[in-house]
Amino acid sequence: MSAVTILQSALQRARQRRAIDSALRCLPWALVAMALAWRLGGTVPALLAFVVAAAATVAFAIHRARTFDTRWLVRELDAKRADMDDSSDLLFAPTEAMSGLERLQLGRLQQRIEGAAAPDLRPRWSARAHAIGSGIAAIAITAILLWPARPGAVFDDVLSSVGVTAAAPTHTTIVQQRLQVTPPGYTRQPARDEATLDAKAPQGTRLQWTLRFAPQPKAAELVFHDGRRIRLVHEGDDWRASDVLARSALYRIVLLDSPPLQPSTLHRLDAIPDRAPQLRVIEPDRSLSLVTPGQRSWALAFEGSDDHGVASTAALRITLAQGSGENITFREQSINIGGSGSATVKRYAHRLDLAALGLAAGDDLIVQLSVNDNRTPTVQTARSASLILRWPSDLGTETTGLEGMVKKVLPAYFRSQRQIIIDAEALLKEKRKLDADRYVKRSDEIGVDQRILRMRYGQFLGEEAEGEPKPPPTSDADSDAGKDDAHGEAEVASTPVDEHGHAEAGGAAGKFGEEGAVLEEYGHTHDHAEAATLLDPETRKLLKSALDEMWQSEGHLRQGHPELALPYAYRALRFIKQVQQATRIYLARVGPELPPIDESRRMGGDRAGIARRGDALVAADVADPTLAALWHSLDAAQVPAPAIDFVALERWLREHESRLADPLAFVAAIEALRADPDCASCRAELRALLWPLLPRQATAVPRRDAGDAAGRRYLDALRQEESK
Amino acid sequence: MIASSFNLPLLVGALLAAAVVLASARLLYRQWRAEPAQRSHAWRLAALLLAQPLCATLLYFALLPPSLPGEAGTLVVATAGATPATIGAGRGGEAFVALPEAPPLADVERVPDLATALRRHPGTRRVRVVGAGLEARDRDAVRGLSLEFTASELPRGLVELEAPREVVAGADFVVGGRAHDLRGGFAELIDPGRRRVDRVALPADGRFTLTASPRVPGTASFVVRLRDARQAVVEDVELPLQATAPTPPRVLLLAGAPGPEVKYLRRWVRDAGLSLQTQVSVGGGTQLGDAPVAINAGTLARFDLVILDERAWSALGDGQRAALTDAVNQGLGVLLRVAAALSPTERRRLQALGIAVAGGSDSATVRLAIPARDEDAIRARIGPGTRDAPRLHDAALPEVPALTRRDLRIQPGDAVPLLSDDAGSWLGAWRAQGRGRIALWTLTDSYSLVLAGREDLHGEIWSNALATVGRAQARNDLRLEGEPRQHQRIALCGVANGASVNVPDGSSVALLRDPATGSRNCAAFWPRGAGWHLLRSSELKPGDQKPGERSLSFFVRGPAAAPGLHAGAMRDATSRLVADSAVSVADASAVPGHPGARWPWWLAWLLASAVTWWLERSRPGRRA
Repeated sequence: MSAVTILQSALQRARQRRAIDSALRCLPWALVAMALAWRLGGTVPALLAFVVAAAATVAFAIHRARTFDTRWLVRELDAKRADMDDSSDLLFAPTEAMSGLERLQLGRLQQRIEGAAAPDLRPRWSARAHAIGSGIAAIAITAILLWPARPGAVFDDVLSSVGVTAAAPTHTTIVQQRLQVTPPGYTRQPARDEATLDAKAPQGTRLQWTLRFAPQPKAAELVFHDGRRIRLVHEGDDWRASDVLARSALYRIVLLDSPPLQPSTLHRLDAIPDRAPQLRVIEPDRSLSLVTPGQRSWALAFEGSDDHGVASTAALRITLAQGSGENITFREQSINIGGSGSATVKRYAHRLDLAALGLAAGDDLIVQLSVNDNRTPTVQTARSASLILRWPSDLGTETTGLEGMVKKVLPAYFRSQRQIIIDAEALLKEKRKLDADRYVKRSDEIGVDQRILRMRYGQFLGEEAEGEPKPPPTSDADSDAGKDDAHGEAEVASTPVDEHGHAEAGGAAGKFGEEGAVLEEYGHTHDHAEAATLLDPETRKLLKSALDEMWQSEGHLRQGHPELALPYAYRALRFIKQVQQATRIYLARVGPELPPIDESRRMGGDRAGIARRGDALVAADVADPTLAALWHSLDAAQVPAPAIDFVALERWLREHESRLADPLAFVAAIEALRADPDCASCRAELRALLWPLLPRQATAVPRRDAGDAAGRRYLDALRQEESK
Repeated sequence: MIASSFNLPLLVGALLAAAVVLASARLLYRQWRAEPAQRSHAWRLAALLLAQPLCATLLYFALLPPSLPGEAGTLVVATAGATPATIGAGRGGEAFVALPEAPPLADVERVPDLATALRRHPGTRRVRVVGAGLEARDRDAVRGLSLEFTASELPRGLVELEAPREVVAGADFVVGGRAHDLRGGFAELIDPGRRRVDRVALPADGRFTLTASPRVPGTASFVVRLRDARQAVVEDVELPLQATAPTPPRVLLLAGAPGPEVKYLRRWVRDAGLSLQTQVSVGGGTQLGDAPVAINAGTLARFDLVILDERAWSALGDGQRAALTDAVNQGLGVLLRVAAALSPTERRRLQALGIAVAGGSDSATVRLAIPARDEDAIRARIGPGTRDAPRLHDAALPEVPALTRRDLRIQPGDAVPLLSDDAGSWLGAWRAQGRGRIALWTLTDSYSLVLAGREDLHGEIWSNALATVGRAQARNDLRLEGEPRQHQRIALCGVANGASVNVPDGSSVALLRDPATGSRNCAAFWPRGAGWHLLRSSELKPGDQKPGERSLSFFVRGPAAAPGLHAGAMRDATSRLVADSAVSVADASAVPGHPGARWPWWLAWLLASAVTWWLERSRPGRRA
C-alpha cells in the first residue's frame, strides 16, 4: 500500500465518521418535525415532513463531510504525527516542481507512513451534543404526542372537575323544527313545510308543529299574544301541536319546568282572509236599457272573479214588473246559468227571451246575478247590480229626467248649424259635377234645414212659429242613425201637433233623445220676444243676432247660392258658440247690485239685557298622553334609557287596535323590547311604528330669530333714517 | 425668542476661535521654548499655524452647514380619490406627496400630514391639491401658500345638506340639499315612521328643498332618500333632528264683527297653544270675547302679535293708532286682515305705514299655491287625526277648495310676500317697521279650508304668517361650528366656564374654553362616538333674568355615514382655501433657505485634520 492510498482511506474514514455524526445530530429534530406534522396534519404530512427532513439531513451530512479535504488532512497529520516533520503537505504537492531536498523528505515521509500503523484521523463522536439533542427531542416528541386534544376546558368543566356542582344545562335549544302548513282544500294550494316557525297562509289553514328540543323539557306549549295556549304533545322525541289559523297571531314557545328556550323569539302567523267574489257587468253597458223596437231577446254577460275560485253556476234572479200607476204586479223567478273560464275568473253569459218571459209594453224587466265562491264551510256570495230593461208603454212619457238628458239641450242644435255649413261646402265642391237643377234643389234642401233650425232657436226667443214646427234634422239622425234607433223612429213617429196643445205637449217634446223639447216641457213662451224672461238680455241679444244671420243664410240657400250663404252661416255658428260659452239659458239672472248699507240703521236700539258672556273657547285636547310618554321614553338621546310603561301601552293597544294598520307588528315590537329593554334597534323599531299614531297637533308657530345686538342697532338706525 | 438669548452659531464660533488661538499659542510657545537646534523650519510652523483656523472653519461648517438659497417649488399633494393620471406625475420641478387618505400610488412619497410634507420640502411656494380635498387636519398648514385644486369627481348622491339643528315641534321645517349626478331623479323625505312625507323631482343642478314637521318634542330621525331616474334608491341619509316645544306668541285678536274667519282663526290659535286675547265688537260698544283691554303702550308690550281686521283698524282712535305704531317699532307684529273695500282714509293710513295698495273694491277667487304632493305623502303628513275625528290611514283626501280674496293690489315697495296663489299674485305681504313687522292679509275665507277637511293647510298658512310677523325672540346662544362627525373637531360656541358634553355612553366630558376666541366663547370638542350628544352650559351672563342651565342637543354622524356629504364639505372647504390663497399670497416674503449637506464639510475637515496630524508627527521640516 502506498502512502497516498493509506492517507486517502484514512480521510475517507474520517469523512464517514463526520457524516454519520452529523446525521445523528439532525435525526432527533427530523423526528420532532415528523411528530408535529403527524399531530397537526396526519400521516401524509408526517411522511412528507420526514422525507424533507431526511433530505435536509443527508444534504447537511454531505456538506459537513466535504469540509474534510486534503488541507485538513495535512493539518491533522502535522498536528498528530510528530514524525511528519510539519511537512506532510509534500505528500500532496506535485513532484515535478520539487527540489532534491523536498524529494528526499517526501521519500522519508512515505516510508514513515507505510511503516507505521495507518493513522486514525476520525473525529470523535460528539456524544454530548447527541445526548442533549436526543433528550430535548424526546421531550418535544412526547409533548407533541401527549398534548391534550381539546382546546381547553370550558368554565363549567373546570367547575365540575373541581367538584363544585354537577353542570346542569342552562338553556334549551330547538334542534329540529317543522311547521306543516295545510291550507283548506278549496284554496287548491298545496300543503307545504315552512323552514321557519312563521307562516303566512289563507284563513282556515291547518298548522302542525313538530319540534324537538335538547334537553327534553317536561312540558311545552305555544302561547299566543292574546293569551291562548296550545299544549305540545310529547310523541317519542318529538313534540307536536296543531291548530287552525283563524286570525293573525303572534306566538312563542314556552317550556315548563325546564331551562328557558334560547333563542326565545316571537313567531308570527299571518292569516290571509278569503275575499268575497267580485262581479262585473260586461253586457249591457248601462243599468237601464230600453227595449229597441223589434228586440226579441236581451243579452246579459257577467264576469265573476275570486281569489280562490268561483262557483261554476250562478243564479240569475229575474223580476218582471208589469202594470202601471198603482196597479203593478211583480213576478219573480230564478234560473241557474253556467259559467266558462278558469277557476278564479269565470264568465256568465245568458240571453233572455223576452217573449217567453212575457214582457210587454210598459213592463220593466229587472235581473240580478248572484255568485258564490268555493269557500268551505260557508260560501261567500256576491250580487251584481240590478239591470233593468224597460219597455216604455208610451214612448216618451216617462223618459224625461232619466240619465241627465237635459244637460245637452243646445249642443245638439249647434252641431246642426255646423252640419248645414258642412253640407253647403260639400255642395259647392260638387257644383261642377251636378247639373244646375239638381244643384239648386240640393241648395234648397239645405235652406229648408236652415229654416227649421232658425225656427227652433226662434222658439227660445218666444217667436211664434210660421207654420207647423217640424222636427229638426239633427246631425245625430244623419250621422249615426244606427246608434239610436229610437231617435230615428221617434222622428218618423212623431205627429205634428199644435204648439199650443199643452195637454199633448209632452208627446212631441219629451220624445226620447229630443233634448231640445225640454223647452215645451218646462217653460212655454207665448208672448213676444221682449217679454220672454227665459233668457238674460245678453244671451237674447246673441241669439237674435244668430237668427238674423240664419235668416240671411236661409235666403241665399233657398235661392240656390250656397256660396253667398256660407258667410252668414259661419257668423250664425259663431254667435251660437258664444251663446253656448256665455251662459246657461234657463233663467235670467237677478242683478247683483245691492243697495248700499245704511250704517245708521245698525243697532240703534237699547242695549238692556245684553251682557258680555264669558268666552267658552277651550283648546282642543289632541295629544294622547300615553303615546307622547312612550315616544319620549323611547328617545335614543336619553342616557340612561328610561323605563317603559308596558301596562299602559298594552291597555292603549287593546283600546285602539282598529286604528292600527298592523297591530301584530306593534305587539311584536313591544314583546321584543320587553324581552330586552336595552336593545337599541328594538326601541327604534317601536318608535317607527309609533310615529304614524302620534296625532298631529294644530300647526305650531315658531318664533323668528331676534338676531344679535348689532342687528337690532341696524334696524333702529334704519328707522331713524326713514323718519328723517 | 430663543435665538436672541442663545445664539448657537455665535457660541460655536467663539469656542472654535478660542481653540484656534490656544492651539496657535501652544505652537508658538513650543517653538520659542525649544532648543534652537530642534526648532522647526519656518515653513512647517507656518503650515501648522495656517492649518488651525482652516480646521476650525471646516469644523464650524460641518456643524452648521451654510444654508442654501430656497427655491419656490410646487408640491403636488394627492388626497383621497387621486389617480396617477390626475396627479400628472412626471412633470418637472414638482414634488409629489400622498396624504394618508390617498390610494396607493407608485413612486409617491407618503406623508402623515401636509405640514410634515411642507417641512420635508422647504421652499414650497405652490401647493397643488389633487383629489377629494384637504381634511380639516391639513387646512391650516397651507395658509399663506399659493394653492391650486384639481378636484376629483364627487360621489353620486347627496353632497350638500342644509338642515336646521333644532326645530319646533308641530311647525314645518325646511331641508335643502344638493344631489350630484342624479339627473331625472327624485329626492324624498321619510318621516320617523318610515313613510314618505315629501318628494320632489331633481332639477339639472340637483338642488332640492323638502319640508316636514315633527309632531312632538324630542329627537326624531328623518331620512333623506335619493332615487335615480329609474326609481332605484341611490342613497339614504339620516337626518336626526331635535324638536323643541315652541314658545307660543301672545296674540291680541281684534275683530270689528264676528264671522267664520274669526271663529276658525280663534279655534286654530287656541289649539296651537298660543295665548289669545280676543275682542270682537258686535256694535254699539258691545264686545264679545275676553275682558276688554285698553290699547296702549303698556298693554301692547305684553303681546307679540296683533291681528285686526279693517273695521277694528278704522275704529281705533288716534292715540291707540300711535301706540300701535310705537309698539311695532319696539318689535310688535301687526297683521291687518282686509275683508272689505278700504275707504280713502284707511288707504292713507296704510300708506303712512309704508304699504301702498290699489283696487280692493271687489273680491276674486284664488287657489293657494300648494306644493304638489302625492296623496300618500299628504296622508302621512296629516297623520291619524284626533281622538274626536280619527282619520283612517287610507282615508280619501279632501280637495283643496277655492278661496276668496279681496282684489287688493299691494304695491311692491319694500314689501315681502307672505302668501301667494297659484298664479303668483300676493295674498298677503309684510314689511319691516322698526324692530317689528306689519303685514296685510287679503284672504277672506281661509276657514273654508277647515270646512273642506284641510285644517292642516289652514294651520300651515296661518302659522307661516304669524311666525313671520310676530315679535322676534332671542335664540339659544349655544352654537355649534362645523359638521359634527366622529373623530372630527367641532367648535362649541357661547359656552360658559364649566360647560360639559354628555356623550352617548353616559359619561360627561368637560369643555375647556379657548380664551383666544374672545367673546365667541368657543371650546373645541372631538366626538369619540356617534350618536346624540348634549351640550350643557350655565348662563353666560350672570345678570340674566333666567339663571340656570342652557342645553343643546346635537347628533354626531359616524365616520362612514353619508360619505357624499363629507366629500362635498371637504371640496367646499378646499375651494374656499384656494379662493383665500389668491388674495393672501400676493405679499409673499423672501423664500427661506434650507441647510446644505454636511458631509463634504466633514470630509474636508477630516482630511485637513489628518494632514495636520501627519505634519505634526512627521519628520520633514524638523531640524533634528
